[in-house]
Amino acid sequence: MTHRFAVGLVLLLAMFGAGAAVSAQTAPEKPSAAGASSAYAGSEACMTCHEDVYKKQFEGTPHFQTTKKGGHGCESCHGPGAEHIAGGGDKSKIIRFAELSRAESSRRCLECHGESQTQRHHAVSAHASNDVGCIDCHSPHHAKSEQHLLAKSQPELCYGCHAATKADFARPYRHRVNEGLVECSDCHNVHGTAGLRQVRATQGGEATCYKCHADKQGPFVYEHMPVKTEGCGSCHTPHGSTNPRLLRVSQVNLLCLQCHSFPGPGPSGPAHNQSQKYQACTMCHAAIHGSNANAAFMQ
Amino acid sequence: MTNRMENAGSKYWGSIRSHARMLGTIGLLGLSLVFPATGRSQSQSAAPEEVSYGGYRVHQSIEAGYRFSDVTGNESMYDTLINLHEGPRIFEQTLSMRSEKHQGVLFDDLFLTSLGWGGDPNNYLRMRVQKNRWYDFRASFRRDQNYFDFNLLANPLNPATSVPSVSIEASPHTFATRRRMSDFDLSLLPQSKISFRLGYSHNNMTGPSWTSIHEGTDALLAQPWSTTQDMYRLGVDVKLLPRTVLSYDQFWNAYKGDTAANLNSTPYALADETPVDLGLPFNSAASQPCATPLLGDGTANPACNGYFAYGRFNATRNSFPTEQLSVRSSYLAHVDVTGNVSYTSGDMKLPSYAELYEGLTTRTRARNSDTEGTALVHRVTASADAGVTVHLTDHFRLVDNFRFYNFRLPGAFAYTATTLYGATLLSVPNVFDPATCPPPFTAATCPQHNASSGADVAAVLDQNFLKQDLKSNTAELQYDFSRKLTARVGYRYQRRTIFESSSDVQDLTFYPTLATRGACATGTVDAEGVCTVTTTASDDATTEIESHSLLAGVSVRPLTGLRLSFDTEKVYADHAFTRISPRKESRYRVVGSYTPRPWAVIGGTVNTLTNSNGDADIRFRGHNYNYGFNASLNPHPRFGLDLAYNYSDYQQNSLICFNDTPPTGVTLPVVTNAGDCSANDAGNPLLTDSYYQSKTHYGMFLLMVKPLARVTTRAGYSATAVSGQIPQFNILQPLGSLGYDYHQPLASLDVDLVRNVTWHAGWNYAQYGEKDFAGPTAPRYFHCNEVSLSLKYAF
Repeated sequence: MTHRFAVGLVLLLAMFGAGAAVSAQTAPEKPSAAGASSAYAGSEACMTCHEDVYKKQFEGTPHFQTTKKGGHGCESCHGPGAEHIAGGGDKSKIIRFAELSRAESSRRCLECHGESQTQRHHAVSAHASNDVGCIDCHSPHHAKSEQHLLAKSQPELCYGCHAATKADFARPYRHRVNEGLVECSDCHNVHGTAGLRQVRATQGGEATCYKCHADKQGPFVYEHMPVKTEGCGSCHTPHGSTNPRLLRVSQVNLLCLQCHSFPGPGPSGPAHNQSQKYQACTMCHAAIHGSNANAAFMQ
Repeated sequence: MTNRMENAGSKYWGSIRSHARMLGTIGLLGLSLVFPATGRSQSQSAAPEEVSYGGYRVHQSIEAGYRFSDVTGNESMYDTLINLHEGPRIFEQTLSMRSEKHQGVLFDDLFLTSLGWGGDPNNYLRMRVQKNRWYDFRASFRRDQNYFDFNLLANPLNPATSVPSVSIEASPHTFATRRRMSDFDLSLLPQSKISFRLGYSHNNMTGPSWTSIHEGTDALLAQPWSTTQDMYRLGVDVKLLPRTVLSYDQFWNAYKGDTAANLNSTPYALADETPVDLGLPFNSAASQPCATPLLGDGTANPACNGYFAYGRFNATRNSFPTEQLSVRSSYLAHVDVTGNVSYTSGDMKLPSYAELYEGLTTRTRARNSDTEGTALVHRVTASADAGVTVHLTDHFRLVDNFRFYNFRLPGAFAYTATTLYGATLLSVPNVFDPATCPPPFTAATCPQHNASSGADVAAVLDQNFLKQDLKSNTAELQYDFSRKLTARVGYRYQRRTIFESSSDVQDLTFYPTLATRGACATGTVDAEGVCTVTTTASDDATTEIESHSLLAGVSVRPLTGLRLSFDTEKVYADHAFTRISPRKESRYRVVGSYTPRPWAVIGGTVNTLTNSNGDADIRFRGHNYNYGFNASLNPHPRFGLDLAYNYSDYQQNSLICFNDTPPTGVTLPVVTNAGDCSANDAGNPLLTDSYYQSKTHYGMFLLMVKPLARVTTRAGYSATAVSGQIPQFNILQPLGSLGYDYHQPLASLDVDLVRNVTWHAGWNYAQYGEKDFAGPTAPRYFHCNEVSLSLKYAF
């Protein structure tokens, strides 16, 4: 398998290299920002009129690095500004992000930021599909959170659209997001993932839950198979729940019986009398996430 | 049980509480007196200001003080939900340093935030240091003290009519653990043609916890938790072409599971004063642990199920390296490409499993068993994804995302179990010896089996295999009608193949007496009266699931500040892996937000999910309807109001077959009205449409008023109200979390004492109360008052 994998990688590299080489001969230049024919005026010229923004909202931010080593500073994002200046500040002669569609504005950001590991899936992300762009969460000139130039800090930023999630995290049984222990971005890659709901995965492609709940990952000799195939969400509601252990149902036995009953692919519910101690399935089946020693998850 | 609870948490300050309170109060008063004298200007506000130091703009703050806490009611529930106790605390600390000219020697930016030091259950420290073109270092440390004791979880619900009556007031599956997580990530030369990434994560969870074991009866086990996971990351990014980066990553995940389990206590004694545990369930009418657990003299009945000792040691070691190759390119003018391939192959090793049981299982007469073995599970995971966005025109895009995920888990457990048998807890289990157990193999010195006794020696090899192969492709067409209107339509195809197999080979040896029992019932005995047999069993199944999803959405921004978004997803699958895995699913979501003024944000959401499995014998139906709105109004720097309301209606129904015999004189509607399932499952002859419905209202407001420039007041209220329905299978089963109210009002006062110094007084109240208290457990109700007094120094 290892050899096959290595061969596959080499082939992939070769294919990519060949494709890139061919494309390099024909690929047109990416469209530069607006007004490709315009000339750059330099950030100092921008500061003449926009001194307040320049001093307070640009100079101290990481974006100021765009002024260095031949960078165009303000014009790196807003495009060449000579015509804008010549026009006496004509707004139509400069790129204003508020006037762009979210796809257009995000594309401009990703010209630089798209190469980061975390932002690579943005184009295929749920946020992008729903017309949520970079500037919906980031505010380069009016950030409330210095790090990442966020318009607000987590989780309030996320609650702005995901109001139901705010209610989830207010429930008594919840992940400690409001307390700051867990951040939305610990479990979700807000810039997109290959999977659904922008949920992160472990390096092996498994549920991100295992990063903290490492003991549940296994692998086990006796797997409780839906844990691996259907995911933790089969039994748990990850944000918050009205029930202990974030369970979907308030009684453990009903949750179990809804799967372990005729007809079902797994074992049907054993003939345990619900009016006796067996109402709590996990009292005996304590290793319910998987076991290395007992097929019935007793230990 | 009481003792373990007291020990578990050292909960919390005990006799030093009053002293600490006094010292804290004195300290705060002292600080309040000292700071005005040292303040730079009493007329200045304490609003954070940046200072320049060594070429950096520096801002930092620290808030320290004392929290007073007063809890009334169920303290275990309080600790499960809140767990904020009394004592001095550093509530929050921040530091930010930004190079004024982006020319710092060691770094350009440094951010550091931490909170909760001094004993709070959750605390963290997060930091980021970066020098633009050279490195970006991020680190975090998080500590989570997880106290969990919801006493309905794994509770046998012993009836008060049992003799003796033993109420289980704490959950047998209590946790009082601490999880410490550290993450370190370093990017070197992040903007260079070749850049490197290094990372390390550490996750350590330790502390007391409890579980239970079933051997005749169910015993409480102490389970000192000890797990450690270390993750190492090494990656390199190569920018081959403009806007194109190729990455290779190597990960290694190492896990150590050293959690063991031992019998928690032996609170009873036999007539010969041997300590014994009769277990958690006490229902003498149902012979749990037997009809007469305690004899007239108060000693334990030796004919009962019970435990003298139990121990389990199963240290596991996991090692999983992962290689990953990924690419992202927007080199071509109208095409964005992203791709990722990863491969994991590693093992879970359990080199030495040992389980020792001493006691009595009356059904089989097992008195002593010793199980030893080894386990090995291999995990092979291959995953890949590829995303392509083709910009057909400036406003029209084709987005395709393919995903492949395949894992295989072959595992084996080989063990030998040796069991000795005896009639009672007082009898000495006989070891088989042909010399002391001659023909006709019925001597009192022979092992004392009954017909239900298992094998005396079992050598077992279990082999299991689970595999899933998933392929999914999502294609969407996205069109920007204008910068204010975007719509999309898409289709997702997914195919899953799940294969499972198991094989069980058992070499069983049955000693006399009654050697021809169990699997040897039809066997023959040898000259020494021993029956041996080899049993084999195997099974396999394949489930193939094909699903088709229709995706659509539209997003519109008709006015400046107004955004409305609608999207839907309808899924149809031809099969399901579990009964409650839906074969049909519909999601509709509407999100709206309106910012009519910069100081006003109003939002609303409608989220509906319905799913079902229409199989006539399952009839699974579920839904989650969620409606909410929120508003944040800050028209003046001295006034702010946040509002939110959310309503959730959750349902999960399906047909189930079950077995239920209520005690004499008890009528349970779910039993009385049950249908007949005996033709399909004789052991579970009752049929019902099991329903679970939960309706949750959540509302909150937070009002901020600054009556004076240096005084800030806040008042707020958060409430969650839950109600619902569920069949009651057991007359002793409280409805528990099906219905309760959870209230959390708060108020605070902040006064800027002097420049950079703010005095804070806060009050938080929490009240949790279940609406139904029926059952043998104590009511799950508490309310608490927490008062925090602190000083915040910020510049």
